[in-house]
Amino acid sequence: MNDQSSAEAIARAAADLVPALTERLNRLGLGEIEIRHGDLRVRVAAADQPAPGPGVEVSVARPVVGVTPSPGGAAVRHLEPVTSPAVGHFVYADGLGPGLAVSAGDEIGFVEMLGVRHEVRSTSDGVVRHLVAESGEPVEYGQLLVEVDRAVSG
Amino acid sequence: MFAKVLIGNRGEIAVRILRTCRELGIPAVVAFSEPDRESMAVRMADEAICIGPAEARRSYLNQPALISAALITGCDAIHPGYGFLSEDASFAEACAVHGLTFIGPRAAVIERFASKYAVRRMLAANGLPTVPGSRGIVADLSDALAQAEEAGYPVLLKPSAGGGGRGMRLVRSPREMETSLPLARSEARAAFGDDSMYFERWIEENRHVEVQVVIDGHGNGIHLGERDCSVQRRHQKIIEEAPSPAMAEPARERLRDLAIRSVLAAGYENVGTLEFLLDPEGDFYFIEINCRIQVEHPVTEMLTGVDLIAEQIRIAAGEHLRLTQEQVALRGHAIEFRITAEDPHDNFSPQTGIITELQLPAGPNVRVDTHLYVGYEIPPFYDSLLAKLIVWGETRAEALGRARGALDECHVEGVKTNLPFHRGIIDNAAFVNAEVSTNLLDRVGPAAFVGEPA
Repeated sequence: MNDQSSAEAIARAAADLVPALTERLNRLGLGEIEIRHGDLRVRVAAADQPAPGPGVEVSVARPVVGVTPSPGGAAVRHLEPVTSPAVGHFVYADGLGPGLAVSAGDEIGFVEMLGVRHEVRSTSDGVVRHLVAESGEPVEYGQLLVEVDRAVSG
Repeated sequence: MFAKVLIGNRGEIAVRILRTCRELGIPAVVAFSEPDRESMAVRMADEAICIGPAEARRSYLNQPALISAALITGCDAIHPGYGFLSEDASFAEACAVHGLTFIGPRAAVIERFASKYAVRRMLAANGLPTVPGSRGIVADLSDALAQAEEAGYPVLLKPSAGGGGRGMRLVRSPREMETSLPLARSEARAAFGDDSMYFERWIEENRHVEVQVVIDGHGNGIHLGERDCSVQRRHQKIIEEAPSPAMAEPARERLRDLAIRSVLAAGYENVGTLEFLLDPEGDFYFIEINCRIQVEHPVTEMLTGVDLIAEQIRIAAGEHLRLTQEQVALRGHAIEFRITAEDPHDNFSPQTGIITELQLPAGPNVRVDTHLYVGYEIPPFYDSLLAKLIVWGETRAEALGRARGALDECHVEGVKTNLPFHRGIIDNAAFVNAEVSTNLLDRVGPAAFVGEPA
């Protein structure tokens, strides 16, 4: 990385990445988020990090490592919602859980509507971040089932 | 009685059904499409469930989604409202297969009354006069031409599976038949998935009169009088009133009596409406039966005090009719105005937008059925009905006076409505003197009735 692109990357980080990461940090209630690209590293941490109390769900994995480097820009993360295509009971695919790498089109599970399975597929490449629905839960059309952490070039 | 009812409809009728469910103490779930998430019915409901995207085929017409929604929310009945699946025998049957009660006639009954031509023949056999027309479904163009020659032009082409005026075409000559039949067929195919057509001789100057019937599943039935729906534009009703100002005794009593006797004999059940053409000589001809609650049902409710949605629900639950014909009192005169998101200054083109200001009329004997609220965005995907204003008076003159005041009170900003049309026609001599025939607006052009732009 030459000096010029490095300076650009830092400028971009200041302008785009930090607010975006801060917003995500607050929204997800995380302690810290760190992303790395080449020798550029951005870490955003909560000022005072409360210890998770009893009953607080900590199903979200530690902020992710292994960002796919994308040429010409720093990487940011997007939480991609996977929603229900039907009205019925939702069941996860075997072995699906937070941290699992998935590709676009991979089966996340299915919604059974009157005995007919409607497959739920990931809409992007990424890592399963959060299982929002419970297996066997009745779901409506468009209901958020899973969030997939997707890397995109910024 | 039902444990919980799924309301499979939208707009004002979803709100209307929800109100009656509450009165009856029945929990209700409102099924909605994605753009209707902020609708009044959803906002009012204790429970609501999204059944699909905007496109009706994937939401309000999506039978598995509606049935599944009812099952996962613990409902044991579905109220279909009007339009959408309200007269679909296959849906009523699918409900029954899944242990749900379809609030309407049973599937077998809808099936029997589904073919308009077969019903005409069946009710004619039970004493109802019918308009001369084709002998059943027309086979092809040459069959249509031969039969129309026999019945005499003009004829009105109608889709056998149709309703609400969709797919109907007026044909005045053999040449028009050649162009209209294929067009009408493709419209009917798109709208109803069935392109079979029949026709009736068109009675040029006619009024539209319909009789409301209520029949339980035990063979008891009553009529709740007639409604006159002659103010129409392109076969769409705009104003309805009861009793018909164009009928007098004894024809009026004969109409009501023949209607209820013939459908009882034919084995109809639940609420229904028999539609008739009334010609200038005062003769009436049966045209079709609607196996559902109708948009204009409040007119009858104002006259009788009977909650027709409650009757539908009770009958579907297997209860006996609680009223006899002698106990039905038809009192005074009621008029309904359909307020739509259509611009009367621009050929009634449909409008969308966000309601920014809203003032609705109130006062004694004034009723408004609506799903509007300030901030509501009218989606472009569905019909344009915004509100129904219904007024009641001891006499027609009193009802007209009340309507005039109520229409003046109406104030809707953010979207253009047909209110200028209503304010114009209410003082029009043809309307005041009950001389409006169903073709008047299309013949003269509705613009003639519209007041000056505000």
